[in-house]
Order: sequence, then C-alpha cells, then structure tokens
Amino acid sequence: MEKAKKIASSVGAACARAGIAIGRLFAKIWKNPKGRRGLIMVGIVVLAALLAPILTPYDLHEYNVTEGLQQPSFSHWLGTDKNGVDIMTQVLYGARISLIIGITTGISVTLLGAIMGIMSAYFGKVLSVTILNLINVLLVVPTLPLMMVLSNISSSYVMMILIFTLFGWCGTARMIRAQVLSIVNMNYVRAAELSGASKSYIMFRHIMPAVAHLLIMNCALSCAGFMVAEAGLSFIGLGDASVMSWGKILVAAERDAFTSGLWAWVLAPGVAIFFTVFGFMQVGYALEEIFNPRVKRKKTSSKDSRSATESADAIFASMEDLPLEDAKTLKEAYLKGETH
Amino acid sequence: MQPVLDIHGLKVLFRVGNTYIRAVEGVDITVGEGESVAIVGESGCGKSVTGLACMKLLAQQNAVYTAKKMTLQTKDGHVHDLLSESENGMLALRAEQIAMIFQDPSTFLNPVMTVGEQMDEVFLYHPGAVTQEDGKAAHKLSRDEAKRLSLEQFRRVGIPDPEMRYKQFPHELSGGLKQRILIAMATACKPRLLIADEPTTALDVTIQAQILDLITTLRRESGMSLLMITHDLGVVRAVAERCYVMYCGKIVEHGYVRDILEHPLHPYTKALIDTVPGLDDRVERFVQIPHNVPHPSQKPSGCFFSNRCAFCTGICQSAMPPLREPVPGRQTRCWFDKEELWEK
Amino acid sequence: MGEIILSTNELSVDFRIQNKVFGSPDILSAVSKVNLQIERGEIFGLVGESGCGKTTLANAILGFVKPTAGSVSFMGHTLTRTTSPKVWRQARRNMQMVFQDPYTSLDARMPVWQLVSEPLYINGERNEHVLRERAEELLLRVGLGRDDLDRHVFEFSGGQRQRIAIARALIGGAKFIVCDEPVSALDVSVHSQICNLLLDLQQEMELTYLFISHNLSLIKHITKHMAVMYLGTVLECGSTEEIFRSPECPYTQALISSILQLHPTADTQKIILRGEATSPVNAPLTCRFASRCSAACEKCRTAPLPPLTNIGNDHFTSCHLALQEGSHE
Repeated sequence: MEKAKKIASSVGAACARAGIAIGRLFAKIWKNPKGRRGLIMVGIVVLAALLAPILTPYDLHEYNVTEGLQQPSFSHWLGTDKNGVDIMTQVLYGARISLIIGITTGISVTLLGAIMGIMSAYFGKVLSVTILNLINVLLVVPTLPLMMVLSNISSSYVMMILIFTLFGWCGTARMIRAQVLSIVNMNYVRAAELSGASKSYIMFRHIMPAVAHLLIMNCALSCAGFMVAEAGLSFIGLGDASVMSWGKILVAAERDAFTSGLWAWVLAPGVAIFFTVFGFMQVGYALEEIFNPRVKRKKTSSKDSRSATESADAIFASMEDLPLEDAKTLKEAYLKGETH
Repeated sequence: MQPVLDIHGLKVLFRVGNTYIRAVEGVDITVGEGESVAIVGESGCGKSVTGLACMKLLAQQNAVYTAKKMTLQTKDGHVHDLLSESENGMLALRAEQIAMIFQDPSTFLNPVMTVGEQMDEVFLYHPGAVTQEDGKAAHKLSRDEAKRLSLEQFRRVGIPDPEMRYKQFPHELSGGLKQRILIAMATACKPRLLIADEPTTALDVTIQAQILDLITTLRRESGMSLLMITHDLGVVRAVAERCYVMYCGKIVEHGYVRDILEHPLHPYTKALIDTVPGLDDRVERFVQIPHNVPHPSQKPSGCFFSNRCAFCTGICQSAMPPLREPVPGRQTRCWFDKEELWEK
Repeated sequence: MGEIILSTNELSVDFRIQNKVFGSPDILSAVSKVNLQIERGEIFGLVGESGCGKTTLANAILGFVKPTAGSVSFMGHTLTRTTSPKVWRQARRNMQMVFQDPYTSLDARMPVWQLVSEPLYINGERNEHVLRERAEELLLRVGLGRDDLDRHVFEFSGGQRQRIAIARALIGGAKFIVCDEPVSALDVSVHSQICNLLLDLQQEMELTYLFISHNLSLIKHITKHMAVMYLGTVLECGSTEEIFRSPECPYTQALISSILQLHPTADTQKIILRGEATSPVNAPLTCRFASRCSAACEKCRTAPLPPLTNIGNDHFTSCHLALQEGSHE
C-alpha cells in the first residue's frame, strides 16, 4: 500500500513536471512571432472542429435536394452542394477528420521513428542491422498502390493512419539514429560509462534530452505533411465514405462546382487545407528557431547593415593609440601621484 | 627599402548580431624581402585574422576592416595598394605574389579530385608565373606540361613516390603529406610572400620537424618572404628572425626573436617564456599565468593584460599604453621598462 | 620499487577490418603485447605520435575495448577478454579519465553541479542537497567557486571546463586517473595552470596518473616513469630521467631532438626522420620502426622484435641495436 502510494506520488510528480515543461514550451512558441501566428491558426482550426455543431445550424446528413446547388447567401455562406447540404458545415466537420489524421499520424510516426532510431543506434549490432535493413525495404515499398489494395480490406481512417505510421517512420528513424550515434561518441557519455552508468541511464539522461527538440520539431512538420496526404488520398477515393473530409468535399466539387459556378465550393476546402498546414509549419519553424538559435541569428545579422557600419567607425577611432608624448606626461603624472 | 608587405593600422571588427567583436585593434606589420617574420599569440588574439586580412579574405565573414596602409610589393618592383585592389586584381596577386597555407590541410583540398589534378590546376591557371622564369613568353600550358611541372614540384617538397601520389585522392594521404601537397601548391608560382597559419599545429612532433625544415629550405632556395602565424614560441625560434607578439588584438611586443626570447620587454612575453621550462632542469611546479584569456567582448579596461599581469599598477588599469621603442629596433606596449619591473 | 597499482601483461588489441567480400579480414594491431607497470602514487608518461595506439591502450585499460589477448591487473582484479562486465564495472570504480577536449567531455545541457556530481548520482546518491555539497567541495578544490554551481558549460573558457572535468573525475574517490592529453586543447597561457592543478591534486589525494601526451618536455618534467610507443608496440620504457639522459632507441632519440626549445643553450643536433608512420594493418612481427630508422640493420628488418629488456638503471628497451651493444660489453 505504502509502495503504491509512493509510486503514485512519483508518477504524479513526473506528470506535473512534464506538464510544466510543456507549458513552458508553449510560452516560448508564443513569444516567437512565427510560433504565435502558427498557434493562432492551428487554434482556430481546432476550435472550429470542436465547436462545429454550435457554429452551424445545419446537419451533415440532412439531404434536401430541392435546395441543391445554391449560390452563397446569408443562410448558406458558402452555398450548398448537389444534395442541398451546407458547404460551410462540411468544411467545419471536415476539419475534425483532417486534424485527427494529421495529429495522430504525426505523433505516432515520430514516436515509432524515435524508438526505432534509438534502438538501432544504441542497442547492439544485431538490432542495428535488422532495423537498417527493415528501413531499406520499407523505403522502396510503394505506399500509394499498397494503400489502394488495402482499402479493399478496410476503407476506414484507422487503416489509413496505420499504413501512414507503418511506412512513414523511416525518415524520422534515420535522422534520430544519426543524431544518437554522434552523441554516443561524445566523451561525456564515456565519462558516465566509466562511473558505471547503465544503458538506460545514458539513454534517459543524455540521449533523450539531446534528441527531444528534433522530435518535437519533426512532429509538428509531419502533422502538416500527413494532412496533405490525407486530402490527396480522399480525393482519389480512398478512405471512409461515411466520414466527411476536406479531400471528399473537393471530389464532389470537382464534379459539379464548375458547371454551376459555385467557386466557394472548391476554394473553401483548399483554403482550409492551406491554412491548417501553414499553421503547423509555422509552429514547426518556430520550434526550429527556439531549439537551434543559429537559424535565427543568421537572419538578424543580415538586417540593417547600414546602421552597423556607421558605429564601426566610432569603434575604430576608439582603438587609436595614445600619442607617445601624451603617454609620457601621463606616466610622469602617475609616478608623481604615487610618490606623494 | 620598400618592404614586401607593409601594413599600418589594420583594424578588424566582426559583427555578431547587433554588436561588434573587436578582433584586431590597430596592427602594424612589415615583412622585408626574404625575411622570415612570425606573429605569436594565443587563440582569439587576432593573429589568424591578420593573416587573412593580408590576403583580403575577410569579406565573407561579416567582417568590417580598415587600415591606414596595406601594400604589397611584387617581384617586378611594382607596389600594389591592397586596400584599393579589386577582387579580380587580388585573384591575380594571390598564388603568384602572396600565398597562404593553413592549419588543417584537408579542408583546402577537394575530396573528389586527385591531388595531382589539383596541383595541375595551379599551373593551368597561372601559366605566366612558371614559364616566364625560363625567359619564354607566357602561354597556355598543356595538360602534359602541367603534369610534368606538378611532379617536379612534388619532388621539390619531398613527397616520396610522386608518380603514385599524383593519382591519389586527399583521403588516401596522411596529414603530413597533405600539408606537403598544400605547400607544393602554395609555392608552385614562387610567390614573394608565404603566409603560414599554424601549419604544424595538427601534426605530430616528428612530422612538425619535417615540415618546418621544408619551409626553411624552400625559403632559402627561392628567397621568398615568410609570415609565420603560430601560438608556439618553439616554432618561432625554429623558423623566424623577427617576431610580433599579439595579445587581445594588439601587438604587445616586437623585435628580433633572439632578443625577445632572451630579454623580453613585456610582462606577457616574459610570462609565456617562463611557463615553458627548459629541458635541462626538472621543475616541480610550472610558472603559471593567472586567469584566462579574456573573451574579445570582455577585454579589461586600460592595458588588456592588466588583469593577469604580476606587475599591474594603477596606471595599467586606467589607460592603454602606446607601442613605444625603449631600445632601438624593439617595441613594447607596456608603461614600464623591464628595469622598472623585474630587474629592479 | 613501490606497490604496483596497475600492470598490463602482454596486452594486445586487434581490430578486424573486413573490406574484402571474400577472404580473411585484415588485422589492425592497435596495441601489441604491451607490458607496463605503474606504481601507486606516481605519474606514468605515455608518449607517441597520433595513431600509435596510446589512446587504444588507455581504452583497453579502462575497459572501453576488450583486449584481444593478455590482461590488465588493477588493484587485485585481473581483467581479461573473458572477464564478465560486472567485474569490469567493479574494477573501473577506481579509475577515471580526463579527456583532451573539454568541449565534448561535458554535457552542455546540464548545470555544473549536476555535471560534477554525476558519478555520485549514477552510483545511487539522489539527494540533491548532498550532491550539491559534494560538487561544491570539489569545485573549490579545483579552483572554481560556489557561484559556478548553477552556471552552464558554455559560460566557461577551455581551462575552466577542464577544471570542471577534473572535479568530475575526482568526486567518486577514484585513485587512478588516465589523463589523455589534458592540456593540448587549451590556450598556451593556461597550460601551466592545469598542469599545476593536476600535480597539486596528485600530491594531496595520493593519486596515480597515466599521463598520455605528445609533449615530451611536459612528460620530462612531471613523470617518474615513461613509455615510448610506436605503432602499437612499446619501444622503450623505464625511468624518465634515464631515458632523457641516454635514449637508446633511434625513435626516442628523434622524438627528443624534435622538441622545440626556447633557449639556444640547449640546442642539440636535430634528427629529422624520413617518411611517416605506416599503418598498423597486418603489421609485421619485426621492429615496426625499422622502415624509418636510419640505423636499422638486417636483423631489425627480419628478426622478431625482442621483448623489453633491462639495460640497467631502470631502463628497458626492445631495440636490437641497443641490445647488441649491451652484449658486446
């Protein structure tokens, strides 16, 4: 009982610490101009997805063919589709699936990549060779045709996430592996080994903190990537037919929007995809600047080069030596002052 | 007499963000014809920057620099003003009049070309420098001629088995051989001045002895001037006649190497010499200089060495002494003469 | 002769290089049959050029690489190829290392107190108060202050970082320290600071150093015994004073003559060696220096390298020439 309590309290403390760290990270992103822009954009999309039922009075499955193909109006801001379903409603509900797919795949790919990368770099030769060969095989498997074949078995989005994850971790794993290999050869790791450190100690104390920033950055960027991939796959007809996604809106629009002049039908899902992906990318770039300050410094130094050269002349003037005569009198004055 | 290299009042700043780092704060250096001159100093004292400035190779690195005078006299007696020289003009001067070798030879060799091809290029790009020596007019060299000259040059710098080395890639050669190749390339056009920036720091002691010997021999043969940049007073003594001691971007002492090593004038030079014990006697403890070399943005006020100097007084902390000449031919940047300090 | 704290017995480390698809792999013999004896409380110098195996030898002693043959004896433990990792770990408790480059030997993400007290943390001490206290104690000892405890590595200069690394090596009470070129990455004007610090600590805490360096004049001043390595073999070893007084092996002579001295009175005839060290891949059993040696005779090139032999006054050499002269007398 005592032990359980102790474990519970230590787990609680760990969670609290992790929470504080995450909070601090978000505060840092918020301070970065790109990061703030990205967070606001992603925040808007997340809110839209969560509050979709409140934001729109219409239902996604309420067909009303008589009101089909209406131009944008006050009651239907972006018009309606062939079945009379409000397009605004579709876009709002579509955000849900795009976000779910983007975020879950982004996170699971990063996690799997990190585990495989670290294992291949730090847990012996056999694992290393196995994982590297696995990566080589996976990299040449054509994902798209495979996806088409597998969608015959199950067309659900769970399947899509699964396939994305299974084939998407290779890049992350290779990046992490390279990073870990360079850290393992650092002398501070050897110093720790000399003191008797175990593999897990070195992994959690030295390796994980060193690659954490790469993982977070990679996660944000791959979220954006998979959202685009999802839209593309939905567009060619893969994915669950009963769930609305931005890709599906585009398929429907492709058939009827141009003949009926409903430009908003095409534009809205496109802009939504762009908006969200852009937001995630901005967060990713902000994280890159936060963790790798060199990226940012380069940019600032190229700015306002003019004002800088002007003050350089003042510094040059201050480097001028004292004239010998003045120096002589100064020294005499000093020596006199000392004797008094 | 007009010196080969004449630099007066060279000042260099590096831009980091919105602030400037003071790298070189007013340096005067002259190198006479056939003379061997050294600049000694620790890392961050501005010695390498001075070397790069002589070649006008500072442009890329966010550097701002100025000088009152920077001239180079070429073989035909013409005096070039390096400050106003265009980039194209500098291209012609480099290699043929002024050449440079560096600490890490592998970064200056292209890894995907054989060293022979890289050696040939020097001759192909600068045919004038080679053929005019024989009294013939400059003409474009053929590949075969270039190869013949390259092999000859490899032999001159003591590369064993030049035919085989000619076909090898940089990664197949050891550090000492790569440095020899670089020296071969730098001296191919018989430059008037060779700037050597820590050429032996990355090498082993026995190889260092070989390379220093090679540089001295080449210099004697061709009458080339040498500007050796190093942190090692032992290297200075082995190759140089005259020497400048730099600390925190300023020259603190200047004079003939023998004089400086036997009777240093500046407390920094004296401390540096004292930290290296002779081989004859065994010491229990080493003479040490307190504190660390200050970061360029945190140089102390007054004399830059004042915070580490054993003889520091009030005036040292308040004003930077000028470079004065207490003994003819020798300069020191200290408020006091050595008689006032350690020979009291 | 004092008590031996560490000795190696015919210690060899080979690396296999498989760069052909078929056929047997090349053998790179990085360390070959090395016998060293280090007394408790002395500083033992190990000199040689880069690639001569001195770092591999240190790694084998510390257990980072397993010896191919031979053994290391350290404070009652005999460590060989077949020794279990557990015993290695136990033996290593009393060994520590000071690395050449203080920039890669300290984790930049940790504050100084964590860096210094890491060995204690690894061995189970989790009380932050105790860790900080011990770290402070050691920092004061190496010439840093209490204010430095919470700073990060990037705020320190090279010399100060090396002091931190030394503090970390000493905190666990190790008695045997391998110093791998501890000053060569530092500014010239701080060399003596770090050397003096190492010497003071050695006296105060009765430490034993294996001091690896290519700086012979430093070795001469601080060590009692030394060994000269060339391509994995020890060519000469024994009392530092004796070796500098009358170096027997031509290689040692060349090394000593290549020291760049500052004072002209000490000038000697310079010996400039031909060529460079070949690679120790498939190295012969003969003297590995013979191909560069100006005095080499037929025997040097054909007969196997003799074992280190005492030629008097605590001076051992494996040079044919020196041994022949000895037998003539």
